[in-house]
Amino acid sequence: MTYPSLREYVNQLEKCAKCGDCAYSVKLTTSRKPISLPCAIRNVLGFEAYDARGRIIVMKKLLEGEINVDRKFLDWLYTCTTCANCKETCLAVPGGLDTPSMVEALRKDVVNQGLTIEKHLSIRDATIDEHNPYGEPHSERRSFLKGEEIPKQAKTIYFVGCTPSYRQQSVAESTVRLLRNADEDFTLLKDEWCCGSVLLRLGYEDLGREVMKHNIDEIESTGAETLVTSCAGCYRTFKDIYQKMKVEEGSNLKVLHITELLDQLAEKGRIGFSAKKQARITYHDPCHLGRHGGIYESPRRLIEKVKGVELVEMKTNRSYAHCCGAGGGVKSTNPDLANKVAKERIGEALEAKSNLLLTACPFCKTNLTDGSSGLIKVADIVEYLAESMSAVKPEAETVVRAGVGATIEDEFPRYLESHPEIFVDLVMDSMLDFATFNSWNSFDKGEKPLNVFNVRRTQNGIEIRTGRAERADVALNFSPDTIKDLVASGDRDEYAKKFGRFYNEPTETKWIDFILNKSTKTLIRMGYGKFAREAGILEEE
Amino acid sequence: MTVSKGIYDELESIVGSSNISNDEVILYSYSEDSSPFPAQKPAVVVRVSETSEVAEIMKIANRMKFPVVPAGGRSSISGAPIPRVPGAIMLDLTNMDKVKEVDEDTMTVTVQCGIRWAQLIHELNLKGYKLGFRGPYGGNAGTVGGSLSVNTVGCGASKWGGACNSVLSLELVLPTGEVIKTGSGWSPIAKRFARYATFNDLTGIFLGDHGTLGVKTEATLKIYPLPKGLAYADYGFTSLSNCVNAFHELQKLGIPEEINMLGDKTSIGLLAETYLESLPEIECAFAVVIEEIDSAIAERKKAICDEVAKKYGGKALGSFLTRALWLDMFNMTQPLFDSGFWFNTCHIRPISTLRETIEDAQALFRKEKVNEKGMKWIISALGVDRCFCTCWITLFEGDRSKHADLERVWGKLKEMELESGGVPYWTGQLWEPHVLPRVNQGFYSVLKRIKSVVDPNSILHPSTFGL
Repeated sequence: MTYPSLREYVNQLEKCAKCGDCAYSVKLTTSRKPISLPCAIRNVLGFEAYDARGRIIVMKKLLEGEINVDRKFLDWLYTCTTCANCKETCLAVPGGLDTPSMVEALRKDVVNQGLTIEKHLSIRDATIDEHNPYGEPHSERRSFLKGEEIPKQAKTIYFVGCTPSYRQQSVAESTVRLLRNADEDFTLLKDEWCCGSVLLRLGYEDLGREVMKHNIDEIESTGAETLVTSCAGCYRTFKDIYQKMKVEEGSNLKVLHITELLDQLAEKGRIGFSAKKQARITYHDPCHLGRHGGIYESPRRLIEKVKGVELVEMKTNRSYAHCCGAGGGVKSTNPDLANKVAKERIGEALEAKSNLLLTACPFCKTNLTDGSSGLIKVADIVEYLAESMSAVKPEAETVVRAGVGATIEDEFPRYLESHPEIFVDLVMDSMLDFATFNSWNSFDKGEKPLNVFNVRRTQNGIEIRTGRAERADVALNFSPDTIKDLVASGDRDEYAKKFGRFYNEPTETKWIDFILNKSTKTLIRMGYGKFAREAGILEEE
Repeated sequence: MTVSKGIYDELESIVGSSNISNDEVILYSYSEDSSPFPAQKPAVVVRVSETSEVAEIMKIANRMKFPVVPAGGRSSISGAPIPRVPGAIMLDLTNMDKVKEVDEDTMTVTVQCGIRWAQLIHELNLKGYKLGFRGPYGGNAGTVGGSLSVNTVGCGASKWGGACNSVLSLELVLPTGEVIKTGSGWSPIAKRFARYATFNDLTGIFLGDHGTLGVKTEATLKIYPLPKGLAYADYGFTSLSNCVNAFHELQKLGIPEEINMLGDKTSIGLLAETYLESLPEIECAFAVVIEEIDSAIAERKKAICDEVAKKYGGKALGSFLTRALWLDMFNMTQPLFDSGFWFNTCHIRPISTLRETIEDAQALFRKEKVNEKGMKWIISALGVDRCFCTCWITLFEGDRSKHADLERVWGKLKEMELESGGVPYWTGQLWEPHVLPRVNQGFYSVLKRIKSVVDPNSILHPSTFGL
């Protein structure tokens, strides 16, 4: 057998130094990152072959001709959820070694040479015949509407997806209710087919692209400007594949996940939420939306906008959140394994002492529910938001929302907004989180900050928003007393000197600490070095 | 040698079907560590959770004379934990990762030896304690048992010594399946609080044994209160000689929790490029971490570091590098992988010999034109214990077509380091070909006799150390 697709990754295979971080790392204290044994599959199956290091060793042996592809090999190949937690954790190359893509490349190679798992054939055939992997009648795709009329043309398309159409219809119903409540002008595709995600994940790339071509033609016929999905898998497929295809063709179609759109609508005051009863909610980041799509904060901002709700984080969260176990074809190929992985994730939700587990993917919801054994309620975020819609819509928020309060930490964004020169050296779209903690111990223990906002470098200066940035380069952390001194600075020079002093010579009440989410080399190249030098952080006078 | 169905079934009855495998993909995935050295794939991999399981497995292996290779996170860069002979039972100890007891009376922690250092640090941190030695730089995956088996030196070693210096007692499963506890653990009722007690220091026989004498199942380590005073400082120097002298003086004073030196511009370029841009005159640098129970003590010690560095013409560079590395512990080396696979020559030596060794290495690199051959290198040193240092000179293979050149330079470097009085702390396949021809025969003869007594059938990690 030949493996042309996998061979494209030979350089990456060679870059693996087999450090084992992808399987074993627990960086909760040693790096203050929410990383704990990243590979959800390895954590359940136990053996090295199931984590990224083991997979890389095996794939290298395969290319060297030491291993043959047989049924057992195929079973192994389809145990990876391609969740990319290994990639996120890997520091060997910028962005991490892309083991999920290597796995998918190998799946493509084996499929192209006629090797496949029987169950995948029925999924493939169902997706071709009925345009959904479940094999449900295509004619039933819009049944969740229960006869409701939808405009034929609109600025926004709601791409429903197969799971909300056939298995989690309340996700589709809730999405429609939310969009209507916010007076969003939306339509559905006249003839929506599966987005192709399942085919791509299983290795049927050519068939996947055929399916996509149909959807692209459908989308074009609507003349819409925005496509929104309530399924994280569809979102990734559109964002990853369709948008790239369309960019080549010059289209301006904007792809959003429903949480991004609702976040924007809520910010404009077009929709508001209030909990029916007090809830302690934790949020599971779907891999397709988080690691593959880069969306972590929109869902969290939405949950925090629901009055009467406390959002608590699980031990692993955001870019290091454990996978639910369903993705990459694992749920269809090995449902027991998927359930076991889900049970582990449910354990994290219980450990966080939450009473409601929300996610933003109907497939994650299905799997987490299967793994929950009734120990915790699991819902999709749109279901929860739809039942928490408030009759009274809030006022639109200003850009510097945090700057209207009376506390010193509220003064900080206002000060920074009036001193954009502090950020002038940074490349466009650089992002920083600013968080205030009562004490260094509170920060060190990973407790919830008093206040968080983020700053993005823009063409016109800076933009400040509440909450964390989706992918901050640096997370800066301050005490209230530090901020009091900083906001009294007359100019950048004074601000930088104080900043450096609080970092280099911290006291119990005045300190600055930071977590770097990119390598120091990368940060210096992005322009952070100049300020750090002025602050005396990179060198002292 | 293959594991027969009968033996497989026996092993399976001990650990359960989900913890044993002889599938090809699984066996191959255990056939490498983080080194470039070749290995045999094991015949079977067994994941153990309890000491009693290890003991039962060893009894079977001893009866059948099956080779056994114990392994932790296999982040070793010396080729130590991978099988040298075919047909081995590989014991995957990473599931033995529990903290058994934190004893606040005697300030000790007893752990199962498969626990990763980063996990242990996290669990102790939650209780308000820290370790002395924190783990190797690969401490995300590196296990306590692995480090104790290969004399690892790494984070925190400047004040506390290497991994083995932290040990008070071990629980071991011998090749014959007997379980023993060392130190004060000889007493069935005493706590494991002291290493040197009543009899010979049996603990020391097993430390650094590369898994050849016993399977380490539990270790009792010293713990300390979390620090309340922290200080960090980077210093740059225009001459290697001044840098080493300042480094030596600080290590003699016993101030640093960790003092880590980058020995030339190339090395600074790999880890702290920014200093070269802003301070082109700097030839080498070191980073100092200070941890104390009180902030006033930490501040005073930092001031002493400033004075010592200044005496040798050092320039204070702030604290960014030190903090970035110390507060992101165990993530320093991974970004270096982008420069190519690593070929290390990690060893220890007196600090007084460091300058000459570095200069000799640089001369070798110039002579061999390693830059032109696409190789990169990093030269670094860590203060260790009282009062020596590691010397870490590592080559990165940027261009695989020049592998033969790299092998030649790497071999010369290792020889040169041994000839100038260096000694490896870990051995593995990395150093064995260089140290075995040099070892004192009387010493080696005792080592062989100990092996033959403790492991009469020579089943534990055969061929390691040439035994």
